[in-house]
Amino acid sequence: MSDHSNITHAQLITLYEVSGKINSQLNLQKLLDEIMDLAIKLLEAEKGVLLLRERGSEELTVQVARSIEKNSIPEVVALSRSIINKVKSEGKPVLLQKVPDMHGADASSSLIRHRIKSVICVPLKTREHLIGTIYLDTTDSGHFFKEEDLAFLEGFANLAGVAIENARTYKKLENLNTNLESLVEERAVEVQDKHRELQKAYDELQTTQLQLLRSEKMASLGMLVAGVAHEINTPLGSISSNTDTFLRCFRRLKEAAGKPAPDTLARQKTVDMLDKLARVNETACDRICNIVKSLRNFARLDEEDIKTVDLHEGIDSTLTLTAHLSRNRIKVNKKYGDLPKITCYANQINQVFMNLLVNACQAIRNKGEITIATSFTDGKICVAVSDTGAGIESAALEKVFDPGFTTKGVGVGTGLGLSITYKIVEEHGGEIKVESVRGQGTTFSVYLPIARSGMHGSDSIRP
Amino acid sequence: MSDKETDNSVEKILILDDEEMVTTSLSSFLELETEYDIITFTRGSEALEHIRNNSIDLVISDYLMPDMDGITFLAKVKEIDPKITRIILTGYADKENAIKAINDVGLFQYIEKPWDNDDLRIVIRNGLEKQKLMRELDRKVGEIQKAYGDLHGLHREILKAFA
Repeated sequence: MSDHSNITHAQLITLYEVSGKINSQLNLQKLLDEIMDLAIKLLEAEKGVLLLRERGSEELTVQVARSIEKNSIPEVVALSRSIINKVKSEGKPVLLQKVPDMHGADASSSLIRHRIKSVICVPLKTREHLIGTIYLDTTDSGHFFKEEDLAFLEGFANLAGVAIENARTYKKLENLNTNLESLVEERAVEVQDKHRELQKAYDELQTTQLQLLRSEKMASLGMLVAGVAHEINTPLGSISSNTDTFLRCFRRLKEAAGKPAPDTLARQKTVDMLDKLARVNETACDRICNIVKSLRNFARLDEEDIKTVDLHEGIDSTLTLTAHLSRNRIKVNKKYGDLPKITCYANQINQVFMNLLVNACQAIRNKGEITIATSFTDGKICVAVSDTGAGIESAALEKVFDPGFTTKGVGVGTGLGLSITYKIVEEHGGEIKVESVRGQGTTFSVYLPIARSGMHGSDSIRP
Repeated sequence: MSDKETDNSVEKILILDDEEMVTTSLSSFLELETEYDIITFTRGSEALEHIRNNSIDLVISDYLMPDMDGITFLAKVKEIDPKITRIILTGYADKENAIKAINDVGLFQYIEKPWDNDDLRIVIRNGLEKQKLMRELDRKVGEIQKAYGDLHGLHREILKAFA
């Protein structure tokens, strides 16, 4: 048993130098080569073998086997297993100084066979665990290992053990890092796949949304067309009947004019009828004109997108176009305040009124009232549409502006009306609020700023 | 018109539409081309009052009206006198529902706005014809029943005489 105190000053310096050298080597195989070469060189051995315990195994396996010329040697030739096993099992160094002299029970036959004269073998330890051994021998009978060599090699083995552990940890870290990198790469591929899937789903969603928007537009258009058709039908029916009656009257008058004694009373009656029907036609034409005007006002087709308009005009036009939904059963109250003109996408804002009015009409199953109240406060116009209809349950109230949410039957609503309404109001920098009491009715309030930055009236666009 | 009122054989037609332009057009045409006795109303309740107190052969009613819709009105007409021929005039956008309602009440015919005057005249003529035949049938059934009653009485008297 040796002690570090046996180490000479010169050896300590050497150890110190060696320590720096091996500790900077992080490549495990290179480190092991270096340790072996240094050990052979420092102890002037003929050859050396470094064995390590593999992970999860008790066995020591040869990692490096070198001669003094730094050449690799076949391990079988060089190795004395019995000595190594002794070091392994006892965890203590072994020093055979002059093998022939020490010949006895301990001496391995392989030593004799290989004419080995002196052997030194120390354990490699980290944190008191044996991780391997360093074995050196020589066949030179003139040079044998001494006690101080043992102490030095033990010190060297301690340094080497730490360095090996470091290199192994480094390798482990490197492996982990590589794994991590490949893992990250895998994940990146996965993420890309997911992204592609999402993009596809998004594209599909957009197509669907576009289709839905189109169907909502068609539904609004259908509503509009039905309303207009109905509104026009009555005066049109009258005019077409009157035209026919006109022709009949004229035929009679012509016939009467050819007769020698005209029936003046009958003629007067016919002329009176013509007069009466002409006035009816006038009224009927006025009615149709009004509807067409409302339609044009509603759609604002002949004007620029952004316009400075009177909102009451838009509301009135929309009321005309939704009249067929309310005429028989719903009393419409207008509580119009003084409103300044507002700069907006007028046809979109009319679409908002249309949606709110149609909803209000549909909310009232039988008879009821719709009240449209307008006011202007703090630079904002408020248009409140209230109905005395069924009301909305509080659970549904949170969802009324969600796209696709509808309580109307299939084919009645697309569930997009209010979400479009919400979007239009939002794009105008305004807000929309809803209040509802089940069984009593609902109020939608739209707040719109009269002008908004980024939106210019047509007046300001024109030079 | 006064000479028509005195003539009991002149068919009486009542027209109801909340739009005066429609009643004017209809009545003008019918007055010009037919001998029917025409009376027009723009309010359902007033028209019903008139039907209760006067004899009417045929009623034409609009579908969509503010106080009372045409289906309800014609159902009430049926209650007052089921033999009155009932015609509805509709410009209603939802034709399917209108027709369903029409079938529920059992109407003679429906006419769509805008209407053709000649078609209208034919529908009215057929309606009146049907009404006339129905009244005729009623009268004949009454006569048969009376004759049967008479025969039955006679039969009993004969039996009594022989008893």
